Amino acid sequence: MPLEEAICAAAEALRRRGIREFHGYELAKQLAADNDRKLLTAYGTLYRALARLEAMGLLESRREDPNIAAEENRPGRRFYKLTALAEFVAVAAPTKRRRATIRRRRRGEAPA
Amino acid sequence: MSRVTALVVACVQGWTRLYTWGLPSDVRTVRREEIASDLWESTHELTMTDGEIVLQMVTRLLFGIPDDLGWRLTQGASTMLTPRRVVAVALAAGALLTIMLWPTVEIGAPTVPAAPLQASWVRQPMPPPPPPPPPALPGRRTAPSPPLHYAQTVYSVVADGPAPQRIKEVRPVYPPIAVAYGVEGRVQIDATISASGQVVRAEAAPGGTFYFVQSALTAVNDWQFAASDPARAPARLTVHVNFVR
Repeated sequence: MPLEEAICAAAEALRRRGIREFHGYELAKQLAADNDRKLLTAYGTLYRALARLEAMGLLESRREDPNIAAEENRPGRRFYKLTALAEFVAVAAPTKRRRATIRRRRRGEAPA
Repeated sequence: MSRVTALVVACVQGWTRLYTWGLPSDVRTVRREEIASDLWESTHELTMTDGEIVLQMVTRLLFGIPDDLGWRLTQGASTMLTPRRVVAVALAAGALLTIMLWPTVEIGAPTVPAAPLQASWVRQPMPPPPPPPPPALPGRRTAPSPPLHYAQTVYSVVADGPAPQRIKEVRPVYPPIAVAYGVEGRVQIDATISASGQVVRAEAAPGGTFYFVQSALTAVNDWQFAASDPARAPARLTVHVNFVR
């Protein structure tokens, strides 16, 4: 699940920058920055993955206070936040993948 | 918002309404609100030209259609659209969008008419060198940069106790492009101050616009306070940053 892992990593990067809750567009920009590309993740791909992650218990979401959105004259946002489980995945998964790659190289196999 | 941008926004919203049609109200509303919010953020993106925004939205729409349909199919019950119909509608919508937008999208700077093709081996006369720029007057800039605008900051202590005295204030810069477009915003930051007077942690409350949050965090992280008693717990502040003109 590379996109889901990338989303967890991007959310973790946002959290390190002091942004604990994020909306879809913010996350899409962080994903693009992480992968050094200008094109943002497609609407359908991004929000479907977010829904999957929420169903898996890695993300939780809430609707923004409608008064704030009304005050700023814009549509309400949906904020996402990593759960404790997802924070573990964001930290541990890349490490595990690196270890697996190192093991494969030692055995003379091509990296996955 | 340009005419083309408005058209693309309408297309994305129309497509979203189409593939969420017939779903339970709560599921449908969440997806439509998310897309509406995303579109709003895209159209208020100040670092891109109108053409880039349009191209971004069109590609995000088209590349996302398979996942939209997949998501729709996983919603399952009470659907009035069969998979075959959904695919047919999606293909039709994609083709229509491509045909409509292909000749109208302009990306970045206006196009320059191409020079006539010439054989590379024909020596061309060198163009005359451009005239040298006039000498700058001493002590005076030729193009003075516009003055920067700054946000207003107010901070208060969260817990009981005396407020630490700020000895260095760095004012958050009001992003010039936001000033130019008349965009205003507010950011709330929770900061922790160590006994030595350094800002050891600063976090923005959710809901702030990206560039305002960045500017506010950059400034607040550089603040310094007078050192306090090391035995006391670190002070926690709430900082309100107002980007208003």
